[in-house]
Amino acid sequence: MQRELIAVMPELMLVGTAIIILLIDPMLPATGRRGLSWLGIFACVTAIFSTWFVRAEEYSSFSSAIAIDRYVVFFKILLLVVAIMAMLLSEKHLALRGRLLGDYYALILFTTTGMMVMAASIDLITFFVGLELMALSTYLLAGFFRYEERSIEAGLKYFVTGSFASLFLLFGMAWLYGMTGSTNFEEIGDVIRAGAVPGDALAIAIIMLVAGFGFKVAAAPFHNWAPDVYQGAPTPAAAFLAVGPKIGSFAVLIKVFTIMLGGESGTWLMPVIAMSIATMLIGATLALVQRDLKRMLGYSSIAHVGYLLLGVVAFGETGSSFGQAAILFYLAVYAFMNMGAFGVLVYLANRTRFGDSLDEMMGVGRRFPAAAAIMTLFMLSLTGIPPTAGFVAKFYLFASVVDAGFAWLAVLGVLFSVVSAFFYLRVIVYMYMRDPEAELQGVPAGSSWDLNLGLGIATAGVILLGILPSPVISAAQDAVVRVLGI
Amino acid sequence: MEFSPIPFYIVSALVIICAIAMIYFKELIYSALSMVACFMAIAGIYILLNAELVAGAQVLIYVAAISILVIFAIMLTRHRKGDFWLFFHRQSVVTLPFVVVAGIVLTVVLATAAYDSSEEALNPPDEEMARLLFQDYSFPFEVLSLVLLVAIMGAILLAMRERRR
Repeated sequence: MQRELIAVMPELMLVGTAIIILLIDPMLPATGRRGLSWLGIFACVTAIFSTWFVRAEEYSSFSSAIAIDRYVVFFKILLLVVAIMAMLLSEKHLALRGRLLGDYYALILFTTTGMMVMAASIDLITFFVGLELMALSTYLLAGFFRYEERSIEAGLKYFVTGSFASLFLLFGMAWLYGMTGSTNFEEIGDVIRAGAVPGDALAIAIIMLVAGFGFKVAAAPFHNWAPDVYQGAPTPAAAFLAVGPKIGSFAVLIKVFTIMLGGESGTWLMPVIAMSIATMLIGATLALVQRDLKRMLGYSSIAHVGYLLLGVVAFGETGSSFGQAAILFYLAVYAFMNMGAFGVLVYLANRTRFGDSLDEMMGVGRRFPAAAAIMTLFMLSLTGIPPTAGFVAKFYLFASVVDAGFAWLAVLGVLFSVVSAFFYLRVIVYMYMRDPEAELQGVPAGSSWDLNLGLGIATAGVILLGILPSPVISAAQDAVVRVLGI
Repeated sequence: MEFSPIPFYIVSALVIICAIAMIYFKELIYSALSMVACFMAIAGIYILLNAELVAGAQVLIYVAAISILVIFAIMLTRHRKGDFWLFFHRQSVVTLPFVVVAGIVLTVVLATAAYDSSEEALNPPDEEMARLLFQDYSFPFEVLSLVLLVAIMGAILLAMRERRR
């Protein structure tokens, strides 16, 4: 019992704090709500410590509903760091728009709890329940500015497509359960490896799972919702939505495609390769024509999902842990650089009457030199230029793809990176080398230490992971080797 | 209890009549009430099949929870009287082929499938259900309560009239 409580201690802390926030929020005056974000951040920090506390443990608890091991610890800490950054980015933005409510922080904590449950799950039912907790909360975050049409539209679109994704996943899971008689990842894997499952039926289950995960991580052809949702959602929420759910979904995707379907890669490898190429192509080319920066980052995140799927191809082909470790490291780097890029947009939106368009970036280099400098860093990192973390992440990922014998796929990945360089570097050109016709109107009292701290964490992450990636890489290797038993 | 066809036909007829009534009523509230009756009749079918547990769940979830939600939604929103012939507008023409195909497929599948009709399969012992729910699946069960909490919170967040501003 004690071990079980320790296993879910981080989740309990987040949920407890979320409920406390919900309870005290109505009693606070409008100005008193500032402290709520720090309550949430405090919960996340303590949750990181309590996760760190069990990093060397390895056991399953609650009748094999969830597991504790290095893989889970890696994802939980990453998700908690993302949640902290998301809360730091949000505070001022919400206050300026008159929507500084405790509910927002509670939703971020619930989303994070859902994702942590997903990462820890070793059972289809636990996974699905965690997924729904995450999904419901993210729909609400997208629609949080309910007085703005776009935000409501984003929430509704996310809800409809997300429900489809859940249906696909549930359908695939129902097939797996029907054929194997178990909801446990390991047991399902054993039955499949024993060859007791008809291949055609298994193929249907696999296609459903691939489509469901495709929706959740916004891989082509299931990507259409992503730019709309990120554009319409409040910018700090978009930063969180573009990062968190992807990390949570990939945490489960790797487990599902290794533990359960590892031996069946013959069936799913081709669809995943096709999906990965289509995703990189659509993400990189459609981002070229975007004038709205949030849409541009939306398509860019689609392109990054394409690269991540290359890692799935790599471990599907070889069964080695190289591809998985590369995905884990890439997710960590992606979290920092993407949160940072969105964070700079939040910064500009707080300080000026910024409408997220590329043209409004003109003159930012002169007017906000610090913000422009770190935006440059994030854009270089998203492109994959050394010495930023983005370079190490891409290098490691493409190396795993080459190692798996898919040199041509890695070449394609590099080609699409070159294409994407165009729209990332264009932002830098606009910031430094174009002069605006008219200055954007400034907003007094738009600066915020919370936001600066959040951007600082993202910057530090991108620089440190670029210069000293080895601790995180070895943590990622430990995580996958220990868990997936390869 | 031996399965006898006569009560089954009566209850089935009730289900179909209530379902049709639900579609044809002009007043939304009558539709909702016939939906409740329809759900009750379906619970009756479960009882005839000796599946008391499923019948109980049907009453609790559909008759009680969902119907009350629907009725609340009708009470809380403005609505117009529907046109009697609304049902026969475009939609039915488009959906008719789908309904026919789905009906044929369902009939064939249901007629040819083999069922596990043992007492165990229809009516699992309550203790077994309780053990599964509160022991083996206690963790997802608890997380589900969080899902419900978020759903309630979301409904309030999106729909509440704001007094603070």
